[in-house]
Amino acid sequence: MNETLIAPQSVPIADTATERRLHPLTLLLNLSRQLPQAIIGLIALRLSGPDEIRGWVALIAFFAIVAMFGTEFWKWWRFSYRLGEEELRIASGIISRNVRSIPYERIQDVNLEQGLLARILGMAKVRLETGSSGSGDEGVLDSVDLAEASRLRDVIRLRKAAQGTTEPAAEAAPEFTHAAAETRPMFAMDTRRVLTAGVFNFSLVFFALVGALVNNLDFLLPGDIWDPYRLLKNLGYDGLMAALDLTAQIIGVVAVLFSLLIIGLGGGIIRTALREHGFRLDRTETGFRRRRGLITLTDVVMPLHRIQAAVIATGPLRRRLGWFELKVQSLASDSDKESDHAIAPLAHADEVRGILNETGIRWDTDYPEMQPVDPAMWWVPLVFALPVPMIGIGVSATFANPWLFLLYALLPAVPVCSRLHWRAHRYALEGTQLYVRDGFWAQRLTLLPLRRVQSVDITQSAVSRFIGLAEIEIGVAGRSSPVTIHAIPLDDAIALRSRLLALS
Amino acid sequence: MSSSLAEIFDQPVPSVSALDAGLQPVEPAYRNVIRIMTALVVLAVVVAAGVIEVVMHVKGGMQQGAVLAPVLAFGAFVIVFLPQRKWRRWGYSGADEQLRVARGWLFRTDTIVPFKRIQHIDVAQGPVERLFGLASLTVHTAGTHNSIVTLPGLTRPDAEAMRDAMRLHIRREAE
Repeated sequence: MNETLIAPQSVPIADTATERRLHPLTLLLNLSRQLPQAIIGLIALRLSGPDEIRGWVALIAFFAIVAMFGTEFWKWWRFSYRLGEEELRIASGIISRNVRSIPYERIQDVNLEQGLLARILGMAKVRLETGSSGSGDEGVLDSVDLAEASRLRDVIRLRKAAQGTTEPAAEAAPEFTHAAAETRPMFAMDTRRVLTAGVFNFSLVFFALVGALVNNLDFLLPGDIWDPYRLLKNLGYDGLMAALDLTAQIIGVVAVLFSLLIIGLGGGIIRTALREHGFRLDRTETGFRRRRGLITLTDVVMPLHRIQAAVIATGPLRRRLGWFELKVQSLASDSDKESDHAIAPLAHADEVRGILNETGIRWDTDYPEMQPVDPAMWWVPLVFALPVPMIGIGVSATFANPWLFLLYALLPAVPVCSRLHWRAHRYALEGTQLYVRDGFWAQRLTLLPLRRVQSVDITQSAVSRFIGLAEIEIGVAGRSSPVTIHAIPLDDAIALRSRLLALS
Repeated sequence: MSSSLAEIFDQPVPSVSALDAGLQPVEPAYRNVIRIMTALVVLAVVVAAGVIEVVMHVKGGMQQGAVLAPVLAFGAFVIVFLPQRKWRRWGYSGADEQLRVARGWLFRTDTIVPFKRIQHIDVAQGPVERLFGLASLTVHTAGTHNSIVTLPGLTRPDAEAMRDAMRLHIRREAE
C-alpha cells in the first residue's frame, strides 16, 4: 500500500532552472476541499430567508461559485517554484506577491503526504523541512505528481550534497528513493498490532462528531424529535412510558453505558487504523523514515541529529501487558496536527530499546528506581482548590435543589486522583540523562539527554517558599511545554540544576 | 522622585533564601523606570476615578472625594512603595558562562541559560529607559519554553558588554 509513495525511476536532473507550476489537478483537489462547505452553505441559504429574495440568492450563489473557481485558478496561476543553483524559490500570492528563497543547505528533508483523492490522481503534497521553528508550512508544494515529487527529492538531496553539508555526498542521494524499499524495516505494525493499538485508544470522538452534526443540522429535524414520548407515540407505543418500572430504567442506563463503551472502542479502533495502517519505520542514512496511513498516506523523515528527547507513553493496562508507545520530540515538524513524532505506536519494551539505541538515548531506569517527590504536591493544591466546590455545592444545594448534596459524594475522588498523580510523578538523573515520569492514567516517561537542555528555571510560589519546596522547569527545543519536576526541596533543586547544567 | 523616602521605609533586606546566592541587583535607576511606568497606569485609573467622581457627585449627590480620595491614596502608596519592592526582586548573574535571571516574589522564577545555548541577543531601550540611560537585554534560546529571557535595568554599556561576551561564546561554539 505504501509503495505508491516510492517511484523508483531515473530523474532528469538537468532540467531544473525553469519556473514550474503545481500540477493542474491541484485545482480539483483544492476545490474538492471547499465544495462540501459551499454546498452546506447553499442548502442553508435555500432553506432560510423569505420567498421573494430566493431568486437573488440563487444569482449571488452563482457568482460566489464562479468567484471561487476564479480565485482558485488565479492562485494556481500565480504560484510557481524553481529549483535554482543554490536555492528553491517559491513565488506566490494573487495581489501581494511573495517570493521565498529556501537555500538547499537549510532544507533538512522532504516529506510527502497523500490524501485519498490525491492517491487516486497520483499526486502528493511536498513539505520541505527547514530549521525554522514556525508552523511548519515554510515550504509546501501542494500538490505535484509523484514523479515530480521524487524528482524534487533527488534534486534537493543532490544539491544539498554538492554544497558539502554534513552528509557524505556519495551515498546520500540514491539511498533515499531506492534502498529503503528493500531493506527490512526497523519497526513495522501488522494489522493485528494496529487493531490492538486501537483498543487502547478508546475514544468518544465519534460520539462528539455525531453530536456536532446533529447540532449543526438540527434545522432539518422537527423540533421535538428528542422528546421520548413523541418518539414512542410515533412508533406506536403509547402508554409504554408509564408502564416502565425501575428495573427497566436501570436496564436502560446499563444499555446506554454499554453502547458508549462499544462506540468508544469502535471509534478508537477506526481512528487508529486510519492513521497507523501499514506503519513502517526505516533507518535511513541520516535518521528515521516513517510511512503510515490507510486513506491519507504520509511519508515523513526524521533526521537523528534533530531529535531532542524521547517520550515513552503507556497506561496501567498497557504496562501490565508490556505495551509501550514511543515518541520523539524533534525540531522537525510532523504533519500539521501533531507536535510529537510517533516512532512506534504500540511496541514491546525490547522493540522500543532497539529503536532508542539508534538515537543514542538510553532507557536504563523506570518507575521503581526513580525518586519520588514531596507529598506536598498532592495536598497543597487541595487546600486551596477544594473549598471552592465545597462551598459552591453547599450554596446551590441549599437554594436550588437538595439533590445536589449528592455531589459531595464525588468530592473524595479529587484527593484520590491528586494522590495518584503525585505517586506517578518521579524523576531520576542517571548518567547523562534526565528521566521524568508523570501521569497515573496516561503515563509518560520523558528521556532527556542533558546536552539538549536549553534553559533551567527554578520557580517558587509564595506557598511553596513557605514549605521550602521548589519546581524545576527545563526548556527543550521542539516541545511546547517545559519538562517539569514538581515539589522537590529547594536544596535538591539547586543541586539538580547545577548537575543539569554541568553537562549541557 | 520620592525614592529616598521609599528607602527609609523599605530597607533592602539581605536575601535569606539559598536560591538567591550569587545574584547581583539591577541598576538602582531602574526603580525610576518602574515608577514612571506604574505612574502611567495609576494616572489612567485616577482619570477614570475622576470622571466617576464627577458623574456621581452631579447625579447622585454623593459626597465629594468619596471615590477620588481612596484611589489617590492607593495610587500614591503604589507609586512610592511598589518600585522599590519590584526592583529588589530582580537579580542577575553572568558568571560561569551562564546567564542567570531571577524575578518576581509571589511567583519567583530563577532562570539559567548557558551562553552556548543562546541563539540571538537583543539590546533594547524604551523611551523611559533611555531617559535614565538604561537598557534591557533579551536572549533567545531554541527551547519553546523560555525561548525569550529578558533582563531589564542594565546600563547601556553593561548590556552591550554582556552581549559581546555572549556573542563571543556563540561564535566559539559554532566553530
